[in-house]
Amino acid sequence: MENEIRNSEDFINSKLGNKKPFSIPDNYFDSLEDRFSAKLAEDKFSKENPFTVSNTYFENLEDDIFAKIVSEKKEVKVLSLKDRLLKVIPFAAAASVVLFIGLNTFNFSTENSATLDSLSDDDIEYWIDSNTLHTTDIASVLEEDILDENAFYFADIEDESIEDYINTDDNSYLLNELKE
Amino acid sequence: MTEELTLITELQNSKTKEIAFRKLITTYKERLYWHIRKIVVSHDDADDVLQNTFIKIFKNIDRFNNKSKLYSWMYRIATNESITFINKRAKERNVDIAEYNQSVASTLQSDVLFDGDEIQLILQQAIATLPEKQKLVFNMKYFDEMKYNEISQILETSVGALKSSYFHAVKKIENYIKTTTN
Repeated sequence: MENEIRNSEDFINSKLGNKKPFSIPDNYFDSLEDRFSAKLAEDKFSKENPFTVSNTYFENLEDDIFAKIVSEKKEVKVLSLKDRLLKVIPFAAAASVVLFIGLNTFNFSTENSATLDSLSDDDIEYWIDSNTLHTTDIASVLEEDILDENAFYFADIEDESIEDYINTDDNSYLLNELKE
Repeated sequence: MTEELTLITELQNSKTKEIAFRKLITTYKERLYWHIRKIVVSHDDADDVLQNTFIKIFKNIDRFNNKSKLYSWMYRIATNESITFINKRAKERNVDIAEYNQSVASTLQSDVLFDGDEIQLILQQAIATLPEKQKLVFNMKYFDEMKYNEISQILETSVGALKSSYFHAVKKIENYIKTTTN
């Protein structure tokens, strides 16, 4: 047996040579002591599960889950096309308003126009004083029927109306004027 | 031997245990690693088993009774941990141990930490076909060149039984190599 073993060993040796087939990662043995200390510390912690559940929790879990699935199914609403359109209309209207305002704002901002409100009183006074306003300009405005000249005809005012006005209005101001 | 006795005394004293244990790891880590690696084959698995082995040694060092050599006792723990690891993995994968060993050997070709040539690969595949005891004896006798007496202490098996196991192992491997390479 000894000889047979030696022969077999010689055969395996002749095939294999001396090279070691297994290798290890670089520096594997260097930190082994530290890694062992860490593992030992970790091992000191109990792996016992500290959490508990009620005795029947897992027994009833399937029923509880299916009960929830069924109730969720019942709550699902089916919307008709009409309902869907009615739901969409307020959003569409709101979107239209936003679009309208947006476009107008865009246009106004590009026109750079001035309105009467945007002019200060000083600007208007300066414009009138600088002799750029002629009587012909006022006449042309009047010609456009803004004021009817017949409105000033006394003939159209009833005598009674004038009497009523004089009687009802405080005439002290007029009297003072006449005295002067 | 005196040095080993001193180390054992330090290991069994709670005040000096941790420092002595670092010394123990430094002394034996490489020898135990290679013993484990040859059994479980992959480096990652060997690393896991090595750490578990040292933890077991640390926890049981107080029960060590000087009847055997310290390193024999540690080798025995490392061997048992390796075999337990393989059994556990085989059970997880729902295969028997022989099938598990074959599948591990077949992954060697793509293992970056296996530098062996074709014949080395064939040898590992041949070792994977051996029963667990023959595999252990072959690794310890052929690669580690341990004496039967030492192996006997570690595996707690008679020298005669070990010789027989080794004989069967080398014969099977020789035949496997011859069949595969021809």
